[in-house]
Formats: sequence, structure tokens, C-alpha cells
Amino acid sequence: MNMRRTFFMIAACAGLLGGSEAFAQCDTIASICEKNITAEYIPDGQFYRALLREDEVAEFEATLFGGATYRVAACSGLSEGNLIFSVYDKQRNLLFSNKELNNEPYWDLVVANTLDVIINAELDPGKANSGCAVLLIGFKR
Amino acid sequence: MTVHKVYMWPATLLLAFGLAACGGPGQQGQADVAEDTTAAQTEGSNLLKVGDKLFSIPSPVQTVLLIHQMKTPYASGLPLAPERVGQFASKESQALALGVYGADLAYLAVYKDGQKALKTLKAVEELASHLNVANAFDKELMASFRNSINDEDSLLKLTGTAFRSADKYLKEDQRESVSVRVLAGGWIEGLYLTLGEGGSVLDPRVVARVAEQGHTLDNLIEMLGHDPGATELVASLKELATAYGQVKREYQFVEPTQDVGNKVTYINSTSKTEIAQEALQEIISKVRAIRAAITA
Repeated sequence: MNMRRTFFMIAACAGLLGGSEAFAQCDTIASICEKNITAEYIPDGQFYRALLREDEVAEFEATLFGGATYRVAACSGLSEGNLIFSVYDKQRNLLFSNKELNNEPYWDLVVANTLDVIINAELDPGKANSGCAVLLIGFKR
Repeated sequence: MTVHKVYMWPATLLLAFGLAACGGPGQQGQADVAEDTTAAQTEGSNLLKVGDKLFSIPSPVQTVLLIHQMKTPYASGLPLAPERVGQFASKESQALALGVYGADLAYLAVYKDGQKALKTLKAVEELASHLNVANAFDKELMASFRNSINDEDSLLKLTGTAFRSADKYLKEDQRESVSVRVLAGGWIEGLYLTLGEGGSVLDPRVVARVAEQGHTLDNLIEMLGHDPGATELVASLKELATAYGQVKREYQFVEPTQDVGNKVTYINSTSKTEIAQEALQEIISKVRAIRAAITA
């Protein structure tokens, strides 16, 4: 076995181990995040996560129904406030961001009329360089 | 979720060589690498994802709650009979059926049909076991279900929690195509339950809720588009999307208001949907046809 192959073996195994470690990290973060979807909210049944590095931005789309109250919880790392999340409408008008609110780990959205939104999540560069970002959504009855 | 600026090539190389290195040497091993790498690029974890997206699909529980709030009478024939669970032989049909039964469970919970809810729960448990997500429906959770069978709020929360656990497990296990099918089954069943038993005259609130699902439908088609085994389902969803093309939607941004003390933002934007009767009938018939196909 030559040097190059040995190098790749080590790098690959490290990469794979790193990947599973990162996913295990997502699991732990999800458990922390779930605490913010408190008893009065029904989980939407989905789990949103992304592994982020530096200035990467995770983005997903959702439809929020009129007349409903949603709770969005956003977490990364083992302490709260590492993740910046922002909610935009489809015209990219900003509806909410926790950036100016000390990166609050959760926020409620009371929706008057149904709309499609885009939710962005990114790490606060002052607090984390990389990590698993987890978003959870619940709604009130 | 879409992740921008993911470093795909290093990750792909690492995975390719990792499979070769950790999987053992030899020519056969190298041939396997090429196949596995391709699979990883199409259905792999978020580490490798570039350009493809994940979306939030509205919970069927919300749809069920709407029809309950409207005091729509309970229709015992609407949910899929739990006795039919054995008919779903392939993993693909089982994933769709899991979503269907999940939505039905919410329906049975809000209409307090405890007996049928328990049977449906058994069907969910069986499908979860076939799909290797039984750990999302562990003994503790199943016991909580049984103990809360007359408490609809608890049942709805438990349903949401269990399906979120299943979704998490499937994503961690890199089986996102199964996760999407579960969501698709739940979404179609939610719509089917909303449309009710027969008639074509619907409450305007139901019409509005049905009409508001166009974007979700587009998202589902995109998500299922990565699954080569879902060609037929995607084709029927595209036909439905064509019918949805006739829905007129208006949206007007209005500045939101914020109550920082209570951590609440009020989203005040306005929206309106309009749908011609003919288009509505087309949507209704296509939703029923798709539901019939996935439960056949």
C-alpha cells in the first residue's frame, strides 16, 4: 500500500467518522431544541437540520396558514443563541429575524393570512465557526 | 434546506475513497465505490447536498383541526381501514401508507374515535417496524398513546412528536426518499379528509385551505423528483399541479408588528385565493384519484 493510498484511507475514515459525529451532534442539539416547543404547541412532524460552516446559509420553504400561531425554534451547539434565523416572504420582505434580538432561540409567529415563507438559518460568526443547525416548528391548536 | 457554498468535491472524494479504504481492497471493491458514490450524490446526507432542497410540508394535523373547528360531522368511512395495513408490500407503498395512517390518527383523535385510533396506531406501529423506524414509536410512546386515547390534545402532540422522531431517524439514516413519501402520504390524506365524503359543495374555508396548497404541491413534486421509484406518483401530482395552475393568488406585504416582551411577531400581510368551480372540481377529483391509487 503506497503513501497516497494510506493518506486517503486516513482522510476518508476521519471524514466518515466526522460525519457521523456531526449527525450525533444534531441529535443532541435536537433534544435541546425540542424543549422550546413547549406543551401548548403541536410539533409539525418534521425535523430540519443542516451542517453549516462559516458563512453558509441553510434555507427552507414553508407555507404558514392564516389564523395559526407557529413557534419556530432554532438551535446550534449545546448552548442557546448560536443561530441566526430570519423569515422572509416570497418577495424577500423581512418578516422576522432574531439577529437584533440576541439570537433568541425561539419565536412565535402569529399569521393573519396564509403565506409562503423562506426561513434562513446561519451560524453567528462571533459564536461558532461550524456546527449542526436544527430548526423545529410547532403550532398552536 | 438548501445549504449554500457546501464543498461538494472534497466531501465526495472523501466518501469515495472512504468507501474504498474502509470497505476493503481489490477490484470488486473499486467497482462498488463508483456505484455507492453516485448513490451518495443523489440521496446522501446534507454534507453532500448541493442544490437540492428540503421543504416544510404543512402538518395534516392542521388540516384535520380546521375541519373539526368547522364542526364537520365525523365520517367513519373516510380514514383508511387499519385492517388493510397488510396489503402494503413494498417499502414505497408502506412509506406512503405510514403518512396516510398518521393523518388518519389525527382525524380519529379529534373526533374521539378511540377504538379505531388504537387500531390505526397498531397499523402505524406495524408499518414503522417494516420501515425500520420502530424506534420512533418506542414502547414508552406507544404506552403514552394508549393512556391518552381519550385526550385529543395529548394524542395530537404525541402524533407530531412520533412523526418528527421518525423523520429525524430517516434523515440521519440517509433515507430521505422514505421521509418524503411519508410526508406525501400525510399531505394527500390531509387533503382527502378535508374534502369529505362525497358532495362537491364545500365550505368556503375548506375551498380556501385547498386552494392554498399549491406551493406545497410544487415542493412535494420537487422533493419526490429525486426518487426514481416515484415516477408514477410524481406524474399524478404534476397533473394535480396543472389543475392548481388555475388558482389565482394575491399577496400583499404589510409591515409586521412585534411584541418583543412576549417573543411574538404578528405577520400582517394579506393574501387571497380565487378558484373557479370547474378548477376546484378538477382538483377534488384528482386528489381523490391519487388517494385511491396510493391506498389501492
